[in-house]
Order: sequence, then C-alpha cells, then structure tokens
Amino acid sequence: MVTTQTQSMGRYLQALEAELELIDLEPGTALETLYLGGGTPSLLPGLDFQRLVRSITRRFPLATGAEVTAEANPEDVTPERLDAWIEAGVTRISMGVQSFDDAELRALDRRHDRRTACRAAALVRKRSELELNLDLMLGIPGQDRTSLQTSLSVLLDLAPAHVSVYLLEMDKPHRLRALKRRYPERFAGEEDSAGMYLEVHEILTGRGFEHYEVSNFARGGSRARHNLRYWHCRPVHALGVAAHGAEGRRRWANLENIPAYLEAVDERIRPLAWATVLSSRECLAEELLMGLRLEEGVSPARIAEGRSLFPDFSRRLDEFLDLGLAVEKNGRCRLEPRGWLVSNELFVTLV
Amino acid sequence: MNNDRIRNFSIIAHIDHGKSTLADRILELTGAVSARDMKEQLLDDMDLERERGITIKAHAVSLPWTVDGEEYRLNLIDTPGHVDFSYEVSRSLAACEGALLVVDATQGVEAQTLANAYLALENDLEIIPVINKIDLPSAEPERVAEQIEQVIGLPAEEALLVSAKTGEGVRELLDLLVEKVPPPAGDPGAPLRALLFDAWYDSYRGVCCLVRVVDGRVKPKQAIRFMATGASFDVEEVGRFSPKPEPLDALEAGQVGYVFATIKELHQTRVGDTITLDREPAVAPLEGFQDIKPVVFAGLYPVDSADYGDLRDALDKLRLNDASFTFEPDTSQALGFGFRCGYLGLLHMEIIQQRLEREFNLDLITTAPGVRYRVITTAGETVWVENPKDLPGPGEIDSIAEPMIDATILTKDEAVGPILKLCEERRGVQKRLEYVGPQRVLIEYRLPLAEVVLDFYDKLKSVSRGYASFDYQIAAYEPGDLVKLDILVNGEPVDALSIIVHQEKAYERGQSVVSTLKRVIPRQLYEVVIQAAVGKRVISRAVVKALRKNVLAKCYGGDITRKKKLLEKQKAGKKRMKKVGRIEVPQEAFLAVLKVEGS
Repeated sequence: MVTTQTQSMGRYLQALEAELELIDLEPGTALETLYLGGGTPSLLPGLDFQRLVRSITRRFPLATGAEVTAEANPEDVTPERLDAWIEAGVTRISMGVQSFDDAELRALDRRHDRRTACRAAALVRKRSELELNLDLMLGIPGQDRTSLQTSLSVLLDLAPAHVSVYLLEMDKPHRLRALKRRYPERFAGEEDSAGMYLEVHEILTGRGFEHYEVSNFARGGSRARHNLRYWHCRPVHALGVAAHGAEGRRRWANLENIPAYLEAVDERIRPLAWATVLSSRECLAEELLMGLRLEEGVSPARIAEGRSLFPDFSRRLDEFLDLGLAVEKNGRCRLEPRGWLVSNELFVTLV
Repeated sequence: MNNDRIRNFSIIAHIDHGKSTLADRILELTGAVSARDMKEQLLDDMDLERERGITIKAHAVSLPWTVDGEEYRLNLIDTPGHVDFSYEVSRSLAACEGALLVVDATQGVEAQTLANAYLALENDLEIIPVINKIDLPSAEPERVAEQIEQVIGLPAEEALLVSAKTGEGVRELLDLLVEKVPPPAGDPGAPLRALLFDAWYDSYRGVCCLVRVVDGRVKPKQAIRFMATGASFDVEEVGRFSPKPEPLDALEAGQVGYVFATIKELHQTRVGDTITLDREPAVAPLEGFQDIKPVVFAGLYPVDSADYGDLRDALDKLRLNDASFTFEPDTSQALGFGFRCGYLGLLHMEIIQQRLEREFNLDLITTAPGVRYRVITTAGETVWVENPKDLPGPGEIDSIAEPMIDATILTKDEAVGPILKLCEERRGVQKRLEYVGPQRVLIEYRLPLAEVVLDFYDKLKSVSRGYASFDYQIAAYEPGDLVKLDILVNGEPVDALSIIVHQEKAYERGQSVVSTLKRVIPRQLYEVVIQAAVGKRVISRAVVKALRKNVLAKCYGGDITRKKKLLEKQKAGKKRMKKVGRIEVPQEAFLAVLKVEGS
C-alpha cells in the first residue's frame, strides 16, 4: 500500500476503501497477515490510520493471531501514534533506520538522525504488544567496517526481534547513482560490501539471530510472516498505486500513475496495469528462486524438477555445490551466506 | 570503324581527387547520358562505393566524340580506386593506350597518384596530367603542376586545368586526348587474343566479361578458351556499353567491349587472363597475368551460432560478385563454427564485412587479421600458415618467413618524424626519403605486411594529422624471428586469441592482450587466470578475482517482477559470452585483441 502527499491523502484513502470492493478476494476471507507499507503510512493521522484498517478488516476480518505490520519512519513515531496503531491492531513495527551514523544518514538524505532513531525504537520496545523490525543498509557512501560495527552495537542494544540488512542497490534511478559516478571512492567496493555482509551475518547469528533469508534476521521465531508469504509463493492481495498481487499462478500489478489509478477506482474499474498467468515452468522457477533465498532451502523433489527442466540451472547448481556456495543436507538444498552473495549467478539460469 | 578512330583510355587518381566526377562530365559532354538523366557518378553503382567514394568494380564505356568533323570512339575504362585492387587497376590499364592522371589542385600529388602513375608507365601508356578542381578558391594549379613534374617526372606545361564539377576545360581535354593518345595497334588477322580486365556476375545473364581485343576478332557462337585456366565456353553475345549495352556483330582488334559466354560463375574467370579461340588458339597469352591470391586473412564467426547457415549463404552470394575473396569453414573452440576468409587487403576485408552485416543483416565476430606465413619445417617441408592455430610446434619449425610490402608515403615535412618512428616501430626498413617539392616528402619503406594489417592506416592518419597518403605493393617473403603467442584462460589455450608475432614484440604484445582481457572479462564464480605464453614460457599473467557480490537484496511483491527483468538483462549479457572451460569470455574480448596496440 502506498500513500502520498498529505493534501491528497483523503482522496487516496477513499480510493483505497473503494478498491477494497474491487479486488478479487471473497469478502469475509480471513487475513493471516496485513502489511501497511510501501510508502509512509506512519504519516497518517492516528484516526485516519485506524479508519483505514477498520475498513479493511470489516470486509476481510483478521485471523486469530494475525500479524499486522506498519512501516514507520523514526521521526513519525510518537506515543500518541503508537497508541493509535496498537488500537488499530498493529502487532509489528518495521522501521527503516538504515544506519545509526549521522553522516551516513545525511548521505542517504534521511530526515532522521541517530538520536531520533534510538528514541523511536525505544518507544516501540516499551510496548509489549509490538514486535520491532529495524532495517539497516550496507554500502552507504562513507560507510566502513568501524561505522558498521558501531551501528550494529547500537542496534543490538535496542534489542529488536527482527533485523533486515540490505545491500545498497543501484538498479533504480537514484541520486546515489549520480553520486557514485562522481565519487566512486566513497562507495564500498564489491569486496568490502561482501565483507560487511558476512560480518553482519557473523555478529547477528552470534547474538542469537537466525539468518533466515538473504536480507533478514529474526530472533525467537519472530520471522516476518507477511514477507514469508511472498517467499513461499502464497496468495497476497494488495491495494494502492503500483501494488502487486499474486495468487496461484496469477500475478498482477496496479497502475503506477496516481491520477490514472484514482480515475479507474472512481469508475469502479480494477486499476490494473497488467495481469498475467505464469506457466508451470515459470512457477517452478519462481519457487526455486525464492526458496533458495531462504535458509530452509528447497525440497529434494523441487530441486530434481528444477534440474530436469533447467539444465543450465543444474550445471550451475553443481558449481555452487562444488565451491561450497550451496550445501545439500538430507536432500534439501540451500545456499550459504557466501552463496547468497552471488546468488544471481545461479538465478540467472532460471529466467 | 577504323582503329585510327579509336582511343582507349583510363582515368587514374588518388581517392577523392575527382575521378568519378570527371567521368560523369565526359559522359554528359559526349551525349552518352543527358544531363537530366545524369545520376550522380553513374559509374559507381554500388551504394557502398558511393558512400566511401571508392570505385570497386571497373566498367568500360564507349563514347562518340567529334574533332574537326572527324568521328572518334572513346573507350573510357574505369579503374578501381584503391591500393587493395592494384592488380585489377594494372590490368585495366593494360587495356588502354592512354591515361588521364587526375590531381586535385588543392591537394597535390598523393601516394596513389604516384602508384597509379607508375602502373600507367609500366604499361607504356601516354599519360595526360589533369589538374582538377580549379574552381575551388584554395586551388594552387602552379604548385601542383610543379609537383607533377618533380615527383612523377611529367612535363608541367602539359598539365591541363579543368573543373570536373563545372565542366571547364573538359571539352579541350577530350580533344587533347584524341590528339595525344595513340590509336590501338593489333593484328585483326591474327588468332584471337583478348585481355579480360574485368568481370562481374549478372543474375540474369551470368558472367559479363569486359575485354580488350588485342589481336583477331571475337563473335557470337564461337567457342572461346581462357588460356590460364584452360576453361572453354561458347560466346552468346558481344557488344559495348554506351553506357547501355549495345550488341555488336563482332569485337575486333583494338576494340573494348563485353562478352557474354556460357560462364555461370565468376570464379571460372581470372582477371588478366587471355581469351583465345578454342579452334584456332593463339601461340602465347598476353603478358602480365597473375593468379592473385588473398594476402590478409581473418576469421568470421556469427555472434549467434544459429546464424552459421545464413553466413555461409551470404558468403556464397558475395562470391558471385567478387571472386577475389576466399573462405573456408573453420572452427574455434571459443567461437564455434565460422569461416577463415582471405582478402586482397584491409579495405577489401572491411568492404566484405560491411556488406555481410548490412546486406545480409548478420552480426559477426571478426578475429584479428593476419597474413600467410611460409614455414619450413625441420623435415624440410614448406607449410603455408594462415591461421595461427595451424602453426607447427616450436620443435618442428626450421624457419618462418613473412610477406613484406613496399610502402610509399607522401606527406608534409612536419609529419616526417612521427611517420619514421611509426615505420621503425613496425619493423620497417627505410628505402627512400626525399623532398619532392617545398614541404612535401616522399618516404618509401619495406614493412612486414603483418605489421600493417592491424592498425597502421589509423596510426599513420593520426601521427600525420591526416596529411599522409599511403600506398603499397606486395614484395617478397623474408624470414623473420617469429613466434606463436598463445593466450591461456585458466590454463586452457584459446585458439581464437593466438597470434603470430615477432619475437621482440611478444612480451609487449602479450602484456597488452592480457591486460585488455583482464579489463573485459567480468568477475565470475571462479577466479580467472589469464596468461600469455610463447611455447611453455609464460610471459604475462593477470588474475580476475572471483565474483563476490551479485545479489538482489530485496525481494518482496513488486520487487519480484522488477528483479526478474534485471536477471533477464544479465542473462542477455551472458548470451554474448563464449565458454572456455568453465569460464565465460565476452565476445568483446575477441574484438579487443584486434584493437591491441600493434606496436
């Protein structure tokens, strides 16, 4: 779900509610997870937030023990908003802190600083109803091992149940790309980024986190259940501009253009940009790709299927096994963290 | 028509000095083509020729001209305009008695002016110097006339001033041509001897031969024989181009025209061969025939191996029109199935490759061009090696000889220093260095052809800031201290990257190739060790470290679609890679070796 500038928020919230009636999901279906994010729902005034969740759950009630995640910017977290979120049913807060180093945060154009982030995280941690996820980023201009270790130790003091660690990606048009062209020396090289990633793995697993997906760590079983639905190829329905949904072999996405989206919903037309049905071969490829990004890996049957359908995949997987980038245990196949780092070399054989 | 009324002539010039424009004006003035119908540069009928301003295929046009009430027939024989085709030029000139030597009034005498003038002199032609482009403000006809006298030795006062563009002086030029060029000699009663100076393939009529009848006559329905190849055919039609084909009862001694016989394929003919009658053959052929062989060789491979069949068909088709290039199937462990092609020179190679890509829409990889080496084995056998991978092992080689060229360079004096340095770097031996006018220097060098095929032209152009003109002739084979340089990727030699190189340059060349490869081979799962080696001795080594990071950090909802596209892009990139063992080498690597500094 995506929100936009405050002025048009009201109009957009109306559209979201209207779209609820358009989506291809039987009313009354119980939701196991609900994720409010992609954008900044934390900007919403508490009452609007509650109203939105109520509209959703009125049509699609939450299952018992459902996970309800809200994405939040550190600067938006206040005791009042936390009250409102908890009242709305939120069980989990995901906060994009990226770093606890002020220079790095400035390089990323973030509005918050280390103090704000720490205070926000502490506020969330005080609420026993809420689980906390913190996002960190690797490969920020100016970042090095020392500053990373400092960020990690601050993070560990805040004791979140879940940590996401993302390697900086440059595939999206981004201000950082221009920056990298001008100051390549300020960016960590391939070697350093890889080193930092493995170091994070060592430190976090040493503190009782399981590294259960390429970029995700959880403690005490607090895995992100909503995200696991993507990785297990389970149904996900979505509302809002550019939202993506999946069910069975069907995949679809909403329009990316806000006026076009609003217009479609106004006319009670599903605001789809595209919809497609995957072939069983594509489904298998997706399952393998997602599965091998998980620590639990992929079952022997699926691997065997993949090997027979994708000969290049089979050869490359052997090379991964050979190099110790992948391991097979009881027939289940999974990648090691070093293998995850170069996993595209394997996944490219599946497209 | 009496032979006294025939004039056979060519126009020779350095590239861009206005040969084709002059030919156009002559066609117009003689009424062969009306100005309205005049297609720019009628004689150059291939797009590529027009684009490059180079005449590749020669033609012959028969034109009426009247002087003092007397009717004459002028046979204009067009010549190819590039160094790679100098043998064809010399055969075209052999069909003439005179030549118009066109020199640009703004540029002066250039290397090809000189080379063409020499060819004309060797053929005993009457040369009429023509100074062209006198309409241009920067024209310096006096200076150029002086150069013609100094460099070529033709009297300056005889040079005619014309502007082919405006037509100024062209009428006088034709009158002078009639006066000065001798009529053809030859014995119409003797057994037929006709010089084949050009031939091309016409998809409707088979092979069209352009001939100059030296003795005797040739008529339809006669059986003719090519004296060099021994092949016989029946004549179907003879005639002349004016410029449309105009059938005649016979072509007689002194005349120039076309012969259509039952020749189906171009490679059944050889330029320079003598045509005689099968029943009543001449005793001896005309002089000057050579079986021209390719001198530059390069591998051609389809980028997509599925295009192999298309490439073969395209080569077959091109050969219909150009019998001077050769190709034979070749395989490379790195590039797959392709062809080893032979060309008359670098320009010839470029033209063929461009035609393949443009007319046949093929994506090609070309390996570094090389020459044909003569290897004497320790067993005393001679082996010709065009492909480095065919070179016998170091223990079996007694000596290797390489083809040399005699290069002529004309330049401004300020560029002499860098040009001499370039020639020396390329293992050249100076033959002549002479001022041939104020600020104008003639340089002659003997150079190994192999040192010229890579990038000599480009280098010459840049060190002389475009002021040097270049021409060459193939000279003898000379023994050289040559070795085979192998490139190994993780210990496996990559045949398509091997080169034969002079011992002294092996180290430098090896380093250069290795560092280029290090730059273009992407990091992959395995560490890649690149080595350059002569025999067992490794002379250069570089390592591309194993890939550490290629991962999608985020993979949720909308990311999945976007990331799949990213993977598809990576996959498309890998498609252009060739596998060497477990290592993927980009095609760029093979091309990069071509661009390696040859010095």
